[in-house]
Amino acid sequence: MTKIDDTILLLSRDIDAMPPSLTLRESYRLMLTIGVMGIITLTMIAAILGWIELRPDYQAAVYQPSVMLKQIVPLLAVLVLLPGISYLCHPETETRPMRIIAALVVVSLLPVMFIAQLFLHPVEEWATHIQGGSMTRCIVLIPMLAMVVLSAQMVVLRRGAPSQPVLAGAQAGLIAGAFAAMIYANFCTEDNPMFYGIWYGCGIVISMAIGALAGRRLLRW
Amino acid sequence: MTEMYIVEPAGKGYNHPSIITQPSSCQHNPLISVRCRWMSQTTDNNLSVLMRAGLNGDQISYRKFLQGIMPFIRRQIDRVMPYGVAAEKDDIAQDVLFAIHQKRHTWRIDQPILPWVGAISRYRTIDHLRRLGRQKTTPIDEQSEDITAYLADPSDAIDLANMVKRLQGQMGKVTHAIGIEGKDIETTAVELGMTENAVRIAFHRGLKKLNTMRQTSMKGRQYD
Repeated sequence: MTKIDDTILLLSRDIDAMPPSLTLRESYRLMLTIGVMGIITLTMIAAILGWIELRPDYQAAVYQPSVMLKQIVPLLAVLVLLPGISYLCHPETETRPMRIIAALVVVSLLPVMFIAQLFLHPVEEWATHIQGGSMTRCIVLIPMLAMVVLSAQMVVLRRGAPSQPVLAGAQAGLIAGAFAAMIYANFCTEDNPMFYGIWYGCGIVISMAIGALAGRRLLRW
Repeated sequence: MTEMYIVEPAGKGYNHPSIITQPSSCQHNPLISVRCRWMSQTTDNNLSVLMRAGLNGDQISYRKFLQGIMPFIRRQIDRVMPYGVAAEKDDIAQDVLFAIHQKRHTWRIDQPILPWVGAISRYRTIDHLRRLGRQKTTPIDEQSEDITAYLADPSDAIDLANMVKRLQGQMGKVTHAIGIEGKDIETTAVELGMTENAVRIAFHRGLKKLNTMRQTSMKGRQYD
């Protein structure tokens, strides 16, 4: 008992008036915004340097459903996850199963679109459609861009105390991947759902996996 | 149900809410559970008041808060780990206290505080079990548990004061003066010829170091 009393005394000595600072919720919003801004800036710089190119026919193409869906599906994932994302910082909140199911349903829209397209194309064309012209670029760039948003979120999450570190990391990774895909779509001219259905999906899932791993390593407290 | 009252000492210049607990009625009451919605709201409110004062720098309120949540911490530990010796549970309780202190900014001041305390207690207890690589098994029968509780307490040898002694340099001196001897920051600053701010920082670092030392020693300890 005395050991506990000693500890209490010791810890209470460490208390000082805390300087007013952002709440975790506010810092989460701030860092998320900074992360997304970071991606936009990075892609802009890359476009100026000529590594990637904003699609020239953007104005005309964006109203085609298959082009639109490329951004709408990631947007849906963001909309599902964004409310309450900052609660991940607090130990007493647990992720509801509904939230996980909703996120998974949205992300699985991409593979579903991929499979649906398989029926519309003859088997001989599958390989060319799937490979497209920028498969590697897509699958590398989406997780790379996602890392920016993910690390921004990790800074806040580490300050917080998530009671389910792996799950929190996965959610942060998923939302980061969705943001990355949404922005990357502006630079991607592959409009066949067969292509982006599988590779955007992969990019987002890879980001989620990296998030889960990072959560396991970094978010334990 | 835990009975706690807030007594506001009036007209004394320095006011802090003080709390009176009746431990006999709450220590072993199986009906109180942090997860339950019908948990005493008054208790929660009182503890929240103390914690809010604590976050504003009131050490006495903060101490009362930590004392006030001890029954809840112990109950959560017992829940997750119904077996185990008293020394082990004391170690975990200490661990929980450190965690609560380090993560005190994660409490949203407009929310009930006991669910937060309970969540941290559960998390740290489960983490302890995970680190030991143990599975949640069926508890040994009550009789043998009673016997082990009376066995020599191995953690006595590695208590806080001993650990503080192992801290080095100014950091060790400051931590000892403030944490063990109970001196205040101003006196310590004068005695050691440091600025108050330097003392604060040294103490803060000392605590951090202490926490890592404590965690390593917990890892290698055998309880049974």
